[in-house]
Amino acid sequence: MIFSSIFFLFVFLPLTLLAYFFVPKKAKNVVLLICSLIFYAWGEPVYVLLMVFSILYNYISGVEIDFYRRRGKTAQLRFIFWLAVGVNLGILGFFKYYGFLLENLNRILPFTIKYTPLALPIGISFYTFQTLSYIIDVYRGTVDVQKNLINFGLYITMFPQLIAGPIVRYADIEKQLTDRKVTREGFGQGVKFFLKGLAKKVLLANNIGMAYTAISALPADQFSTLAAWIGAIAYTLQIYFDFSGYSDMAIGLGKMFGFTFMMNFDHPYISSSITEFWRRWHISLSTWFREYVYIPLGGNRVGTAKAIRNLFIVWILTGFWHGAAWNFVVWGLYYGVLLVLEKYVLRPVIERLPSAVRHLYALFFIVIGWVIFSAPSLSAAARYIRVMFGGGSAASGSAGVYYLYNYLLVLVIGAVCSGPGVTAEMNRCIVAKERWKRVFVTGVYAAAFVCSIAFLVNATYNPFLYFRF
Amino acid sequence: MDLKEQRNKKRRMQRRRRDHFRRVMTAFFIVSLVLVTVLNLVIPDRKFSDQENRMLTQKPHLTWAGIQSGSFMKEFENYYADQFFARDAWISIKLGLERASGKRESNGVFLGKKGHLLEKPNEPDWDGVQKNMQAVSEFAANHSGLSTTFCMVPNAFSVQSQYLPKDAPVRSQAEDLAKIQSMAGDSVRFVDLTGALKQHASEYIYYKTDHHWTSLGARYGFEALTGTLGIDQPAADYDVYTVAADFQGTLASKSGYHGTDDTVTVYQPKGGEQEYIVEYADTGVKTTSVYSSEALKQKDKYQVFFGGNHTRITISTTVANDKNLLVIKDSFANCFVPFLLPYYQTITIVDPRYYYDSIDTLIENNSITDVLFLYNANTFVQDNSLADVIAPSDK
Amino acid sequence: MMREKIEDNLKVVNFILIALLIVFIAHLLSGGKTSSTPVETVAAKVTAAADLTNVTQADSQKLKKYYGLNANDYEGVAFYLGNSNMDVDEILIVRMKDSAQENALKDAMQTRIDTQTQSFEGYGVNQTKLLKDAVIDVKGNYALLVVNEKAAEEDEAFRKSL
Repeated sequence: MIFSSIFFLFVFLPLTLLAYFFVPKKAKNVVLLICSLIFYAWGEPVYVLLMVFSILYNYISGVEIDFYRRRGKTAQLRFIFWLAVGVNLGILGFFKYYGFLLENLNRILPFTIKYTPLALPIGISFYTFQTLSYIIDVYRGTVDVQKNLINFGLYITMFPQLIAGPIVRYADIEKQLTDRKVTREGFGQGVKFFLKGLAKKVLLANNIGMAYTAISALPADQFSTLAAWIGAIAYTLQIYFDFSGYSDMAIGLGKMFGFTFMMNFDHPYISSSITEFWRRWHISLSTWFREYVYIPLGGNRVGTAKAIRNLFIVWILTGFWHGAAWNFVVWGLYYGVLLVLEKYVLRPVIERLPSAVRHLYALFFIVIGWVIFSAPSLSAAARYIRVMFGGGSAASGSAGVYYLYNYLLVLVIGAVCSGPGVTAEMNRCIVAKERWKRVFVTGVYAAAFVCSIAFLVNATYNPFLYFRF
Repeated sequence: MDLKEQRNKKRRMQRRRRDHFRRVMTAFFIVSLVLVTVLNLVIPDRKFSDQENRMLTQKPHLTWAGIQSGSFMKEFENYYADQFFARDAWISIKLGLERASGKRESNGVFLGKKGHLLEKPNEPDWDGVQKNMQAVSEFAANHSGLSTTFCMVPNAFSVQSQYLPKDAPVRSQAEDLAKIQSMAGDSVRFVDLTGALKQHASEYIYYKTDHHWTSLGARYGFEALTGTLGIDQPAADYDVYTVAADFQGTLASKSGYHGTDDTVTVYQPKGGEQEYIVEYADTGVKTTSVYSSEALKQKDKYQVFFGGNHTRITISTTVANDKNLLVIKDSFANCFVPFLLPYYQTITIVDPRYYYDSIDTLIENNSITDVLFLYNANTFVQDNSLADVIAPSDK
Repeated sequence: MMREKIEDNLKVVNFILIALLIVFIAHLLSGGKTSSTPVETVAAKVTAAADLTNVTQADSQKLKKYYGLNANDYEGVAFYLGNSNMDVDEILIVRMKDSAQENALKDAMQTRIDTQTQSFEGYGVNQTKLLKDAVIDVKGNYALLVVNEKAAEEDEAFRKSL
């Protein structure tokens, strides 16, 4: 089930809210756990078993790890810990990369291994990282073990962030699992986030995305340089609104049930360097990698050569995490190279540039990055980039102009909304002295909801990009 | 001191306003959810959507297999969206917003100038086209005793390109047709109507809201074909009857834009009505008219011609000239065939998309003398049914 | 001492869970259990749930024609085709020889549905609806395609019969 669907909005959510607010405090977590499992099973009836396994297995492992750690039984502690890490990563690796691995093996081996391709369990990349954060933190002793199975299960499956993050670390949410409060104001804040996210996803991402879909389907003789750039920019905006919209919805839904999740996006496209971009894009993932991979490897305190190695390890993994295909690996490497360059070579140069130039520099590499990311294959990415720089068979051609007419308005709205100005202005209106401003901003949210419903009712086009990961 | 107090007061006011806003949001959201859910429960389900021209999903049956495979859940979501209250109004809001944002196409349909909706060109499946054309040319060679004509009707986006949105990317259908003609070989007479129809590009030869040509377009097509078909004295004058003035066709349904109405007309040669019997093989119905007045009560008024698509139709006329025509066609022929009535003893019409039996037997049993293939180009470039049907049956 | 025992038991549970996971994955990989039910039995069960007014049994030549599939490549095939060509009703049950055939078979089934949909879209609203509700289901070594008013019931009968 995805949030941006009529069914979620007008069947699942009302029923869940009703059940949640009608049961006594003690039963709230049970209700939320059950609803979350239904939420998952709705789209993945078979894989919900995998989810149940993850809950039970990690619950028990956590208890064991805690026990051995307290007793100081290092050998057993290590065994259980590494087993748990291995099992979790094993499941993720198996479901996500098994097809990819065999496909590539078949390419180099003289014989062919037959295999049945498996569907990827939704959200597995996200919830595996969540369980790992728990297991590692219990092992390190930085969080207490969770002895309540319901609470633990809720942490893993909580439906708002289950399928597309933010990746909530156990440490951040431990207290809220047992102690949280929903007020009318808090709920309203959640509604605000949710509606904002819904509009981003349904009104902006989906509509801008159509430009990319149409353009990338153009035959070579109509695929002009202008069209290629419009397509690339459209995808850049689409993936931001898609993913950050989904995160906003997750944060908003969390708030409706009294949870506070970390911010996942902070207007990444206003960055003036690639380093800054990654501090603003998918923050929960970068934080996770820093906390559980980069720093344990020694971070940047281990001498330049090793620090560069560490960066590359993190970035190859980041790329690979996004999907089992070579272009994701290359995309990760691409950022690894850019970040190393910025860190060790370019920084003094960049700092002296005027801010407009820095901004353009960052955006340029971000857009090229998304082309690599979005292409169905590496060679397709190369072809696309060649056309962007005038290497196509249709250097001119009217298709670009046509799509510009079609999508100019949404692209401009998208570009404006990707900056912090709009949100800031809306927030100012909420507390403005003038009554009409306050009424206006309420109207904007209401209208966004109505328009989103209109698009969802006729959702011929409602793909969700981050499902693949 | 005063300043600090003022600042605190301002902050308090802001907090109060923020809290108020949040409470309003809460109320708005809860009321919306309850209201929509109740409306959806109360308002009865619909079977058919006129606007979209399709059956709406009905409440799915709950089965264990359906849950296991997830198909029940998908069905249920479709059902809920299809039966959402005031669905048509919601769709209108969406289309209005899209239009306002400057979009000139919707669901594969160009929103052209002057209320014209135009089909987007399909990307040709050249392998399939090659296969079909080879089959046609072999068919003509194997039946050298028959006079075989292949007629290709161009589409509105090619003929009436003046109605396309500015700079719309369309492939050159004329080039595609030239390529197809080169595949046809010598055994078949290939007629491309592009030239004939382009002469009348400013006239009402294609429906504005439907992908078919109008009867007027078909008439020009017929006049361009008479020579090839060997019709010596075609009718010069017709009585024109308007049978529907509120037709909204497939493109309107597909795109959702229902702004314009089309007129459906029927042409009858001046000077006396002709008598004939029409027999539909699939339903077994026999009538004395190629027009179905039933269809005029439906949404799709183009079905007034033969009541839509059929597997096989046989028309027996009172003309005794031993000319028996076989038309192998798509739906563009439906409004074209009436023009042929005065010139053949029998006309057998076959739509390969729905026809599975042997063409050879059909030719034998009906003493066919002439064969006419009539397709519109945009459908033909993606057709994969023709080759199989006309292939020699012993294969 | 007591505590330790509990922890030992937990360890056992831990390994049992891993064993269950392996079984689950093995089950997924095998694509469900292979059924040895003969195709005739499955066909009988499925057709019993169906509305058969619009279909009749068709031969392997028809299968070749509309699906491009050779009946001989499979362990067994049952094929029912619409009576009139304006009936889109169709039932195809295939017992595969091995799981490598699954993808090609599924593609062929999907292509058939797509072609039919293309032929009827915009003309036959009833047919289009049936095609939209068509079921393509693979369980173990059996594959099913149904275009029928009662497609969901037939799918259930299909799954039960294996």
